[in-house]
Amino acid sequence: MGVKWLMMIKIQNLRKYYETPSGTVKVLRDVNLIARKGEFIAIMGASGCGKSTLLFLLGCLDTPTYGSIFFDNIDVTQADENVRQKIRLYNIGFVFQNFNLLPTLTVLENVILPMQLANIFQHQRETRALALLRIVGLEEKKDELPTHLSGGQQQRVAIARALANQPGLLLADEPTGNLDVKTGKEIMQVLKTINEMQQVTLIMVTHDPKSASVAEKIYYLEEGSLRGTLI
Amino acid sequence: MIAFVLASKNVTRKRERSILTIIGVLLAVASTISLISIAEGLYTKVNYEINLQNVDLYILPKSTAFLPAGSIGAVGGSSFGIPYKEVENINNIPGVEVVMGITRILANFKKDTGVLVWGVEPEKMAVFFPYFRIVQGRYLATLSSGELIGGNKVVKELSLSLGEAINISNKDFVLVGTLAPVDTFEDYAFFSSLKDVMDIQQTAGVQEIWVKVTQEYRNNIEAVKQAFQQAVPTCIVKTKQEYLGEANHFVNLIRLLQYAISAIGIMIAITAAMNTMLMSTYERMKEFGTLRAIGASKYVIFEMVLFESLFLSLIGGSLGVLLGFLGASLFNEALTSLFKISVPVTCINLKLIVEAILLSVGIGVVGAIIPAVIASRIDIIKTLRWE
Repeated sequence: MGVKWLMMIKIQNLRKYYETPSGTVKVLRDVNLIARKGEFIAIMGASGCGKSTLLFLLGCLDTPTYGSIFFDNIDVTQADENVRQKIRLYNIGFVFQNFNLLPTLTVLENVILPMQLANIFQHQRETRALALLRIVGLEEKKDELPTHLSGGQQQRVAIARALANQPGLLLADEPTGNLDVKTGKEIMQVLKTINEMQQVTLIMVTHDPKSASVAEKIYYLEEGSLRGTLI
Repeated sequence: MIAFVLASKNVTRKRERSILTIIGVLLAVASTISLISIAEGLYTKVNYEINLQNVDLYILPKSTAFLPAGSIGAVGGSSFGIPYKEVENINNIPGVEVVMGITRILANFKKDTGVLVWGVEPEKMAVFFPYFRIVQGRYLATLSSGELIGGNKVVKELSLSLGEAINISNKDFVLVGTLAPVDTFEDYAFFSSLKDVMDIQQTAGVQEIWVKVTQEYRNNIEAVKQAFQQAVPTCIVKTKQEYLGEANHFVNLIRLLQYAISAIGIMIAITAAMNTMLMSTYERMKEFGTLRAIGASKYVIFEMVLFESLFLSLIGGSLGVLLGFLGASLFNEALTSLFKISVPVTCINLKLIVEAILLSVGIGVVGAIIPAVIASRIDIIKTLRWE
């Protein structure tokens, strides 16, 4: 997958159904969305409405029941797992609600990890990781283990890690969900700064209107479909 | 490479569990290496000893049960024996240079010490044992009776001195010489005249007949062997290679038996390694999911689990080798208390160490395969939602 600089992401008639013993659950029904390069989009919705499912589909972690997701002109839903793994490695950065840092690695090692997976030269890895930690304000904590950091600091490390391979798309799943209001606000500011500085397309799912308000566009996921932007 | 780094970090994560796995592998490798060191020691010593002996053909009774060669037991250990007159008959076969009857017995020295005594024809010893040197005293006199020469170690262990009267299985002997060390089981044996040993054994037959043929005949040993076989149809004729083969076949059977016993320990070690890796895998599902989400391939996850298991098993294996040395010396101690003289049967050589390390690698790999497959095939979304 050679796409590095995503100009446009297009979701077309996306459906995701799950078969359960009690019948078919239609989580997403005909979701359509266009995100242009550098846009910051928030998708809001009640708990269990399918926000994370949509994010996982966008992140090439899952395949839809029907419909397509285009990264520029390439339909990534048709790609096999090997290709999707490479898209995740080179084109997508993930920020999780629970940070999901590797507890045995230091802050610096966590940020370096995606670059190691991408076989980037060692001297480049460290330079880039330190620059990212500087952006999120944690350069002095580079040798700490994640367990010694606060939730907000851990999320900053997770953001730095997500940006390690300079992805075109940053996906954030409830990035402030496990943080207090003040820290959540700081994290949103970090995300906004990165979005503006690096022109990375940022799609965030959240149920928190304050976090969503930082985005350029807000969509509401209801009954499996996206309702138009609230901004 | 990344899998290697991540695996090395995880080894110290749950120290108690890692240590238990290491102990499991350590015990399996140590017990295996200690047991196999007996077969290895027998193999090395038997081969060395037989190759040193200047024998072209071995003539054994038909009823021979092939036991390990050397002083600890005879190839051709048979209660029937070959009538001594066959030695004289064989002497008349064309091509024969020297013929000697041999009998080995385990006799009693004092009350509770077993000693090995070889009955040889004194005047022919130098031909068949060209590597023997006397360091004290002299060789057995021709037509001697009641004379003994001792292997270097047995004389030292039993604190015997030259000229000392020794009673072996109710027969009186005098120690007339001590051999220089030769690093074979012969170091732990006495040598006396064949007649004296046959008296102790109270048989008229010899256990083996050793033949040295002339150079001309040695080049066609198989044909000579056939001629001998026809001349002594009541006996079995073996070339040196065949004799060695029989001895090694027996040693290999011992080795196989020891591997079978060790297999129990190995299975336990594999179970321990697998249990550790399975527990560790299930605990880290979310971590594997995260790694997959940020772009790690299935192969990286598989390698990570595999390397982790290999680290533990290699640490256990290396420590097991060290403990194996201790185990092997304990086996020697046990033999010492059995025979009252030390007979270092065990041998841990480089080959055995490499085998032990490969065994620990095998334990690590087998123990890790199922956990590694599980970890690499995780459902990424399920694991990311794992709380």
